Amino acid sequence: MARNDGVWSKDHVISLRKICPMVSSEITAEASAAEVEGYGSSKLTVDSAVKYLQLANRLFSQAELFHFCANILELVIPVHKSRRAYGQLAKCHTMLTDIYESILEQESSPIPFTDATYYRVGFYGERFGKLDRKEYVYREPRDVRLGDIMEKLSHIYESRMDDNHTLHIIPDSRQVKADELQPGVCYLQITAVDPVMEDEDLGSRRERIFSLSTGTVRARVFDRFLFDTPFTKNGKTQGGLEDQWKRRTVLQTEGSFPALVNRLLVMKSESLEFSPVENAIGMIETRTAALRNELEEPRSSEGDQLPRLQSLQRILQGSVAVQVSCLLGFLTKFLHIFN
Amino acid sequence: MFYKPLVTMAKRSSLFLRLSALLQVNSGVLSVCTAFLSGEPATRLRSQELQQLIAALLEFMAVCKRAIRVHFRLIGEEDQDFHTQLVNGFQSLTAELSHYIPAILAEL
Repeated sequence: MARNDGVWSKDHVISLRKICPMVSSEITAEASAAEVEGYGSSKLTVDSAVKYLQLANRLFSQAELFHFCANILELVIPVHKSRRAYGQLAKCHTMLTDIYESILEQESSPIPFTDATYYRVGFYGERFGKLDRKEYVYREPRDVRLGDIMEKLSHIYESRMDDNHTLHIIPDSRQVKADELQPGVCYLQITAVDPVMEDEDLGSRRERIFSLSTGTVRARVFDRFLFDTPFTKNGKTQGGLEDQWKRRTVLQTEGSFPALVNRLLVMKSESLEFSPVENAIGMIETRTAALRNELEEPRSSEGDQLPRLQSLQRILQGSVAVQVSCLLGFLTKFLHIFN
Repeated sequence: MFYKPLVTMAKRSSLFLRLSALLQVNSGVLSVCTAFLSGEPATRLRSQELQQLIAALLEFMAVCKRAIRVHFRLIGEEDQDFHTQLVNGFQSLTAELSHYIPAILAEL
């Protein structure tokens, strides 16, 4: 793009990079060098860039990724401003109004918005060829559940087995010791993982509540994912509160999602452990944070208090209502009678 | 004229659903005390862990108390009974917790 266009500053490029990390400094530098030398330039003009941005805006809007739409329109507005295209500017601002209202609606929903689901898939077995002992993170549509991807991958890889090999799915997220697996069996380990927010404290013992960390508009670009595995020191997965440990595994992928491919290789895997008492303190701190979050919500100053009341009642009911324990006692008695 | 009963009904049914889903949570605070604070906790936990656990429980109860006050300001007549249940629940929980943390009575 010609240097004298002057509609976008460095901040705009940084903003674009947050949406599309592929616009790295190396790529930009290479493109600039090619332009200076008079060949290989991208032929990207401001007009064609605006067209791409508008297309991206439409697609992000269809995918309900409204935070991306807002950032994209902020890139288009300077162009219209520099050209005094007031009609286009009015259109952009109307769209921005709709977008921010949609974001508000999304964030106030009791069900946290997810644009995709992510799964870690580990391949163990010589029949997998180059995939053997490699882990990938798959990005799937938001309605794909763990059972769906298990079925899909089983179907794909079962057809690649021969008479001497069978396919087995490892149903939990325990650490796999590849050398101890049975020869002649190919293993797929499939685990649901959560994307990690840029500023998230992974060492926090608090339970992760996605909705709590989506209070502000964020770009949903992820290259780190995590999953928690409960375990006890006696080998069982689940135990009493005093025995319940938790291992948090953080995966770093090669590149980031959204991407042109639906799976990315895991480059690095790190884990940390939380002791039973740390988990218990974390659970209490999570409830406290949820309640405090509700008390300090900015919407408290607005007219309609019903959503706030409902939300408050929900958390209080789970925290102090005695009838819940009574109900638990009743159910235990009920089961006892009918057993 | 007709929207209010509908809203209340919707609210009640959603609360019922939530109540069903929250069994585990309420048992949480008391179960934590039974698991970690019964008997001689100092023999099982490090001093720092013990302090952190007690601080977390006290803070939780203080925020609950504040939330119940806010709840009282927000409700209408139809939610008075529910509010009374919340207050009673809070008092029972405080009494239960005081067996493990006697200081809680002075703190709240």
